[in-house]
Amino acid sequence: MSEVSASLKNLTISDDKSLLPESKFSVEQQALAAQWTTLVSTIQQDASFIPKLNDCLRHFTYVLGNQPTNVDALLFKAVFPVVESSIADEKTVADQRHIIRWIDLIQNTLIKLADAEKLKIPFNAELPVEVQQ
Amino acid sequence: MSKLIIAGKGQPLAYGALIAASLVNNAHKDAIAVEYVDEKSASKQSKDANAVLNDSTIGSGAIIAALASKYPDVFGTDSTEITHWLEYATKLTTKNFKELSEVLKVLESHLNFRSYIVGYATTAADVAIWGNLRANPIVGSIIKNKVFINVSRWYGLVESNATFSGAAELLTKSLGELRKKSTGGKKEGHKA
Repeated sequence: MSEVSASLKNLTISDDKSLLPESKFSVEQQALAAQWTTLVSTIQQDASFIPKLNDCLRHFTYVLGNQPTNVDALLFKAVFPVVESSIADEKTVADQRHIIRWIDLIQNTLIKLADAEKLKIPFNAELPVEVQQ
Repeated sequence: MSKLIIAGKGQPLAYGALIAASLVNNAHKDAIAVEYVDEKSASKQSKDANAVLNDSTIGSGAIIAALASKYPDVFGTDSTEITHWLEYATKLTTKNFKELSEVLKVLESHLNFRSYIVGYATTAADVAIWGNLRANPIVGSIIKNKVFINVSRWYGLVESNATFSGAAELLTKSLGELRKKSTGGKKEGHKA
């Protein structure tokens, strides 16, 4: 485990005022939150976890919609090391573009990482345009 | 106090300027008085001023830029990047679908790794681009059908801010009141 991912465990939310509180979750958001909280424990064994999360972040900025929640923080800590280890690969970058975008948002807002610890985002990578299926 | 006049029949409607003024007023109470005229132009000096600020700054785009440099606490620090996207926003008023698609391709690729246009919060760039998209009648279906996936995601994020999503309603309501007043409270026939 890299130093960054080791230190991730101790990270706390830097800006919890911006979080949508659980008490305000819609029924749909409650269901999604429960689903992701259960799924995150399988991230090491379940190869479909990353594509599922990427699909979810394709149409929404945060995991549960347009506002940050504690589910973003929870998933961020689990997903960061996985994405960090594969970001050098061009194909991975294209396939995980939505997760990478979301990581960059979270690491600069909800969970502020020091610059050296941040995932390096390939802002200038030319990706094939995605088409709505 | 500053005064912003919005032309109710402006082409395109000055949603960007109206949103910018609302954002300023959210942070600085009553900093900008907003008035409406039921005309194509908000200024006597120009035939097609969709909005005018303090009788001198003409057009939605110029007004957003002026407010952004006056209120960095609301819009973030001015940067060449923001200036670039303010200029880009002016290309989004075209009603030619093919032309608009070409322009939106640039934004789609920019938003591959970005949640906001510049940085990690709403800036003047989001105001200018979102405002012009909202005012363009051919954009609605492009967003809804997710022709550009990243653009649609970003549009939804910005729209979730009530100041943005409420702009159209605010303009319609204000114009309705204005028309009521000008007809002396007489009931008007339904117009489109």
